[in-house]
Amino acid sequence: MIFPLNVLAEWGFDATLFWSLLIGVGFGFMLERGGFGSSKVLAAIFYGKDWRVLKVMFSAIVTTMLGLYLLIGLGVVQMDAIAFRPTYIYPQAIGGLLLGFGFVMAGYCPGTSVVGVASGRLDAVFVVFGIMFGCLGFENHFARVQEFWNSGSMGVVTLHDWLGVNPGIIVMGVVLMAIGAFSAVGWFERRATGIPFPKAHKMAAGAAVMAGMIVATISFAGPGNARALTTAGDAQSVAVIQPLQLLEWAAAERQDCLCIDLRPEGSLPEMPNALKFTSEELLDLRTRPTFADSRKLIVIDASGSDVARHVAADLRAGGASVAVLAGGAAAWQAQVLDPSVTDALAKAWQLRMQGKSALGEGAAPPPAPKKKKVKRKKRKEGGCS
Amino acid sequence: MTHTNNITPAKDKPYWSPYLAGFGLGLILLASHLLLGNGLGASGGFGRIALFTADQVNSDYIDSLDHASKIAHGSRHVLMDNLVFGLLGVAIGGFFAAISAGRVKPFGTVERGPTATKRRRLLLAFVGGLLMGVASRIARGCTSGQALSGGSQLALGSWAFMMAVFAGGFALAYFVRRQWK
Repeated sequence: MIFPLNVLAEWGFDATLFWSLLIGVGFGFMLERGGFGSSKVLAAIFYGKDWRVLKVMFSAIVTTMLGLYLLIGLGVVQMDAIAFRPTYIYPQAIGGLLLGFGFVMAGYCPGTSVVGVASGRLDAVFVVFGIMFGCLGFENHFARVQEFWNSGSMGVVTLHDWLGVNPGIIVMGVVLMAIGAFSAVGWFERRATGIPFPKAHKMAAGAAVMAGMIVATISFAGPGNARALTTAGDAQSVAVIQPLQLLEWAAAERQDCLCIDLRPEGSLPEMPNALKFTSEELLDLRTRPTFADSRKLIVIDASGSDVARHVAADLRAGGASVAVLAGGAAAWQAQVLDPSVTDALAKAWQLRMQGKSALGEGAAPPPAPKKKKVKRKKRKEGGCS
Repeated sequence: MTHTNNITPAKDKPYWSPYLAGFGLGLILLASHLLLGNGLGASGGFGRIALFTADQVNSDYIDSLDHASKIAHGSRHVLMDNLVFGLLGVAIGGFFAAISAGRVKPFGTVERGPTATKRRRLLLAFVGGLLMGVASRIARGCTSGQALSGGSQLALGSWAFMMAVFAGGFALAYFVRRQWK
C-alpha cells in the first residue's frame, strides 16, 4: 500500500473518519462562501458594520434545528443516538466570554481561522498558533482548573427541558427570534439606502415559519419521542440515603441495591457492591449502560455534590430507582470507616472489611450490567399530548 | 449565485447571500448529526494536533499531565479522531471555495485597517488565538462545537455560551478597534 494510507490504516482510519473529513469539506466550503475566510468580515459584526456572522450563524442553527427536531418528532431519529451537549453552566458562560474577547481580538474564531489560512492570510496563521498554544496552556494547568471545569454540571439539559415546555414551542420561538433579528438588522442596513427587502428573503422567511409550524405540530402530536431530559429541578428532588442507612443495607447483604462510584481514583474497596463509572459516561446517552434489573442504584461521589445528583436524576429519568449517598464518600469515611466511630454496626463493618482484606478477597464483584443502549420512554409529565 | 464580472476581472467574486450560506451550513451540520451522531467541532481538533506536536517534542511532559495524557496516549492514535479529520476537511473545503472564487490571497497577506501596523494586527491575532484556545477548552467547545452544534440541538449551556461570546465580543470591540482603522 502507498505510504500514507498504510500509516492511516495502522493508526485506525475508518469510515467515520472519512465521513468526518467529507463533512468538514462541506463545512469549510460553506464558511468560505459565507465570507468567513476574512477577519474583517468576521470582526465587522462587533462594530455593527456587517451582520453576516449573525445571518449565517442563525440561518444555520434554524436549518439544523428544524431538520433535527422534525426527525426526532417523527420518531425517525432517537434523541439517544445524538450526542447532545451537556450543560456545565459556569465554564460555558465564562469560556464563552473569554472566547468572545479572543474572537474580537483575533478576528477569527477557531473554525474560521482554518478557512483564513486556506485563503492565504498570515494573520489567520498567527491565530491558529495562538489557539494551539492556548490549548496546551489549558492542559498544562488542568489540575488547577479542573474543579471549575466540572462546576455547574446540569447534565444534558435542553432549553425546553429547562423551561419545562414542549420542544415545539422552543423550535417556533427560535425561528421567530431569528426572523426578528434578521428583519431588525435588515431594516438597519436598508435605512440609509432605501432598498426594500428582496422578495426571496420574504419567501424564505415565510418558508421558515411554515417549517417551524410543521415541526412544532409534529413535536406536539407526532409519534416521536422528544422526551425531556433531566432538569435542574429534577436533580434537587433526588432521594438521598444516609451513610448509616446504606451501612444497614450493606451489612444485611441486600442484593437489590448497587452502588455506583463516580470518583476517578482513590476508590474505597470497603464500599459495598460498587461499580465504577465516570459521570460523563453516565450522562452520555450513548455510553450509559443499562441497569435493566430492578436494583436500587446508589450514586456515590466524593461529597454528595450536584454532579452526583444530576447523574442520579438522569438515571431516574431512565426508569431506575435511585438515591444519592448523602455527603458522598467523605461521609461514609467519617461515619462508617473512621476508627473513632462508636456505632456498633460500623465497628462490625470495619472488622469485617479488615478480615476481608486480610484474607485477600475484595468485595465480591457484582454482576456487570449490560453495556447496551437504553431506550427510554419517559416523557415530561404534562408536556406532550 | 457567483456571476463572473468581466469588467473588473481582478476583483473577487461576491460572497454568497449569508442566508444561503447559512442554509448550506445548516444542511451540512444536520448531515453530521445524522451520519456521525454528533455536531461539528473545530477547537477539539486543534487541541489534539497541539497535543500530538507537544508529544513528539517531549512525551514525558505529556505523560506527567493527567488529563492530556489520557487524550494523547489513549487506545487510539491521538490524530485518528473525527474532530481532527473534520478540521482537515475544513481546510480543504475552505481552500477549494476560496480558489474557485478567486479569493486566495498571496501568502503572507495580513488583513488589517489602512493605518494599522502589521505588528499590531499579528500580535492581536496571536493573543486572541491564545485566549480562544484556553476558552474553548474551558467551555468544552468553540463557536462550531458549542454555538452552532449545541445551539441547533437547543442545549441550554450552548445557548449560554453563544450569548456570552457575543457579549464578550461587543464588550471588548472598542478597545481593539485600532487594528481595523
